[in-house]
Amino acid sequence: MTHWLFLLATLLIAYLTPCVMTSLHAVEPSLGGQTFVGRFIYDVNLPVLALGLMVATSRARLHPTNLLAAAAGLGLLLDGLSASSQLGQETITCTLLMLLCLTLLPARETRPWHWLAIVPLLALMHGLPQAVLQGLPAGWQQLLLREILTTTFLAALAITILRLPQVWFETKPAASLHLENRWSRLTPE
Amino acid sequence: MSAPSPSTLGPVVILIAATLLPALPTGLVNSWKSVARDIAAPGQRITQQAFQTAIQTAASLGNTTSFVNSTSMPSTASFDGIPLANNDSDVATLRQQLSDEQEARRRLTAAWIGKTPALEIPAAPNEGIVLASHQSEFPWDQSPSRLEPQSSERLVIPELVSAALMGGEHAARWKRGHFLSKGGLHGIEESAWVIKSPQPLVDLGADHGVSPADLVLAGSAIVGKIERVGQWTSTFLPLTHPSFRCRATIVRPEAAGNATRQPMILAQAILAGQGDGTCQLEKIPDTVGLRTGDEVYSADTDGALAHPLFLGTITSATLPTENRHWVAVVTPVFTTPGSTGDDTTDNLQLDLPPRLAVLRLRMNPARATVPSGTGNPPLGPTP
Repeated sequence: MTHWLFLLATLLIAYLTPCVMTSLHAVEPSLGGQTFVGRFIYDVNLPVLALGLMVATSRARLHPTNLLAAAAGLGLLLDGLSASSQLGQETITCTLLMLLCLTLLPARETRPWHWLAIVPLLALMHGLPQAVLQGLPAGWQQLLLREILTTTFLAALAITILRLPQVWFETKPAASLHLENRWSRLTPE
Repeated sequence: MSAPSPSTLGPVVILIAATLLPALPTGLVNSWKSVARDIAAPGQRITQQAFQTAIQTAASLGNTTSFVNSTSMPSTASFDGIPLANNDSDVATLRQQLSDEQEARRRLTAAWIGKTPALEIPAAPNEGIVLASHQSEFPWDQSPSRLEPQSSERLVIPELVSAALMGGEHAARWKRGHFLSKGGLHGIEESAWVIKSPQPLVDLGADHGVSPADLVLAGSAIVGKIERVGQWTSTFLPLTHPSFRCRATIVRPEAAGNATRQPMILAQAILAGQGDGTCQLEKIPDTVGLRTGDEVYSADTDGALAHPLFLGTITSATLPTENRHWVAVVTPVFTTPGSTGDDTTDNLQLDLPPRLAVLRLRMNPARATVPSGTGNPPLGPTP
């Protein structure tokens, strides 16, 4: 049951990310692209955040193939909604990025901070091929740097907020059991 | 040699499939794009509503703050530089300004589509003005050909004639024959077709050269087309009448999420009145990305008009699952709520301005004269 719930959550992330990206473009005039908040929203690399969210939430419960298929589905939907006349760019990029995540974080119990450490790398790998394929705009280094920093900042903020309850209500670690104290643990003091 | 485990095989299959995607044929890619739009539509609707709610909430919070602050300023309250209305007259003035701005924007869009100057309505009543005497716009000076074409005048030119809407009691008295009660004895009568018609009346008839199918305009917007022509008055079919049909061009305005910041022509279709105050666009394939707020202009096929005229705004666009064509509802600027097709709407309720204009076509006077000696009688312009 838990497996299916996590699978559903992962698929929901993969589905809603392209929807949010296209909706952002639709409400662009209302958001005001020139304001600080408007620019901040556009600088966020949403696919990278979505991949990280998938890894952070579902790595312990799902098989890597599930995550990889969800990442491929995310890329396929992004390709389908894009204005480009060719498929595959986002699909391949997202699949490879997810593969990289799973390779760099082989443990089933992935800690969110591990994922945060590789966010800049993921944002760079996601932004650079797009910029090269679609033609490098003027000042692309600053654009890319801003995107990486914004995504990393937002990821750190999200992880910190998610970890806060564990910081405030930290449980005591269980007493370790060694061969030396096995008798003392079994017999009363 | 052992067989690959499922955990290895899955990623390999997914990667190979993803790598092969760019090699797919264009038809398959377009099919997937259409399917992807359908799949994402519900999610987009939900997220857009969420964004709009968030924006409206933020705006209302800002509004409240502004009003609270404005209590200390008794007369000149303002919100982000926009003066707030104090009474009904201010509201009416602002509404008029908004209407003028919308009209000006529609004319600009129409001028952009036609790449020609905007339409001018004559100020004096019943005086015709020439809208466009088309010169050849082909860039001949860039043509490598040595043949220089001589400029020619168009044979038929459009003219705008100012007209007044005869509504309510005025039209009723005209139809009862009050104005012509004495003339009837001497053979001065209005056409029975006009008298008996339940459609709205304008005060122009054959005396001003009006013909059936001439367009009736309010500003740069089409409100109907002439149906029956009498001696002094004519009836017209409103835009929303079930019998009204015309060719239309769908245009995305420059501010509706349009990345190019310029009006964009999306498709051509048939506009048909529905009789309920709205019109419907027909035969728009699902490959066109329609959205509410897109504007509809007339599509001139014979080149008589210099630029298109405004028809209405798309207020609803849905793509039924069993149909490959859009169901798009267009709401005109001026609605005629009672215009049903049963011809029993004698007390037709109109939301039209009192001053209208009729777009009539007439022969170009410059072409109407025949060189002497040909033996043919000279052709005069229509009255």
